[in-house]
Amino acid sequence: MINKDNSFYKEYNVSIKALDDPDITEQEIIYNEIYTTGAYAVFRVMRKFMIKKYWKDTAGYPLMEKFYSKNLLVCSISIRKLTKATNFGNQKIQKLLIQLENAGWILTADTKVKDGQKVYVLGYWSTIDNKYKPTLYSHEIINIPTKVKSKFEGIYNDYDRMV
Amino acid sequence: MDKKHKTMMEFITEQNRFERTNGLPAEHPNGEVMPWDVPMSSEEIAYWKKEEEEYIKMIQESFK
Repeated sequence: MINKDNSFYKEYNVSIKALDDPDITEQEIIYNEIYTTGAYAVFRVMRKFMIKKYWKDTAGYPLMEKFYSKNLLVCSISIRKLTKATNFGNQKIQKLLIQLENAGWILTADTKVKDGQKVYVLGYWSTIDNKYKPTLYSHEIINIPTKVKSKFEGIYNDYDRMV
Repeated sequence: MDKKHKTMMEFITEQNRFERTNGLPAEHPNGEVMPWDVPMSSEEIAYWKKEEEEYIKMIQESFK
């Protein structure tokens, strides 16, 4: 049986349309960009390395005190580690992180950890009926109704001019 | 002499740290504990791991 509330099912089964499709929505354009530039690979690495319940704060990494105890799901990872995990270059990773941020999938926190390393907020967690339930910002985007008309009609005009 | 017993989670994080850093002490600049050394709690496994396993099973069944 297919469980359509499964978060992995939701992510893998997003319908991706061509950019010249007249019915394309704002949300689908965001997904197109994220899947075609490799930003999704970076996001998956970040999700894997999120702070967990039994993390104990060490000197320079006060992530439990400042984030997890306030119901935020965060990930603090160096760009060097991301390049190792994804085989992308240094500059590309920085571009992809900006892209994820613009899409609303991640937020950068104001507080930084040791050596000026950034902290990224991926979502929040709550307890419903004594059950742990994480919610990622990316999943919230998936749930937006897709019947809204596109605001990006200018894209096609520009494309016609180029051709 | 007072003995402080480690919890299971502390023990597993230490083992993971040793494996990753090839046995460097925690005071070494390259031997610090990192968030990915910490194992998932039962709640987190119940959500993340089970959802992923469920999805993989679903794909495998679709190929039969």
